[in-house]
Amino acid sequence: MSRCPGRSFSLSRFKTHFAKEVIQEILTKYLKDKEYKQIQAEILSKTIGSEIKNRIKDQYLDSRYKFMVQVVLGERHGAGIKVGARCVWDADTDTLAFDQFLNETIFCMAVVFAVYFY
Amino acid sequence: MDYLDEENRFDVNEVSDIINNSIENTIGNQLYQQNMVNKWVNDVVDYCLKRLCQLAKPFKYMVICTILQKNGAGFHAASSCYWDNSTDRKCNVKWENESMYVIVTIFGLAF
Repeated sequence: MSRCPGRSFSLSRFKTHFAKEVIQEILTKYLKDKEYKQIQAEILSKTIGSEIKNRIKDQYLDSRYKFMVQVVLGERHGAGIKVGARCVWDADTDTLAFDQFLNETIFCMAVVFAVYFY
Repeated sequence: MDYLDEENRFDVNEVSDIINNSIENTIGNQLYQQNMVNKWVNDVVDYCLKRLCQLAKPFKYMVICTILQKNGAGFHAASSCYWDNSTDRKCNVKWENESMYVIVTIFGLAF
C-alpha cells in the first residue's frame, strides 16, 4: 500500500455497494422462507445486526472506520412504517449503506453507518 | 479517553430529554396519518439535530427515527456497533401514543 495518506485512504475507502451486497446476503440468509414469530424476532434481529457488523468489520479491519449497524425487523400486518435518518458528520469521509428485505410475513431493513476516525 | 473531560461527554440523560421533547412537540396526541408521517420523521430528526448541535460538543451525530402505526404488528429494532467504547455512546428512546410507536436512536461519536 502506498505511503501517501490520500492514496491509502482511497484504497481502503468504505464501499457502499459492497456493504449493500453484504446486507442483502445476510438478510436473505436469515429471513428467506421464514415466518414472523415473536419469540424468534428478538434473537433474529440481534443476530442479523451483529453478523452484518462482523462481516463488514472483518473486511475493513486495517482501515480506521467505526461502524454502526441498525436493524429494524417487523411483521407485515398492514401497519404503516417510516424510517428516516439524518447525520452531522464529515461528508467527504463518512457514508451510510442500507438495504431491505421483504417476504410474505416479515419486513426487515438494515442500515450501516461508516464513520472515519481521524 | 483523557481529552474528553466531564463537560464534553455524551450525556445520555440529556440526549433522551432532547428526543422526548422533540417527539412531544412534533407529534403529541395526533393520530397516525399516512400523509403526515414523512413530515413528522423529518421534523423529529431535524429538531434533535438542532438541539444536539447547540450543545457544542465534539461529536458526530447519527439520528434514526422510526414511526410505526399501531395495529398489532410485531416489531423489533436492534443495533450493533464497532467503535471506541470509552467515548462513543448511543441513546435510544421508545415513545408511544394510542395510534403509533416512535423509536429514535442517536449515535454519538467523538472526534
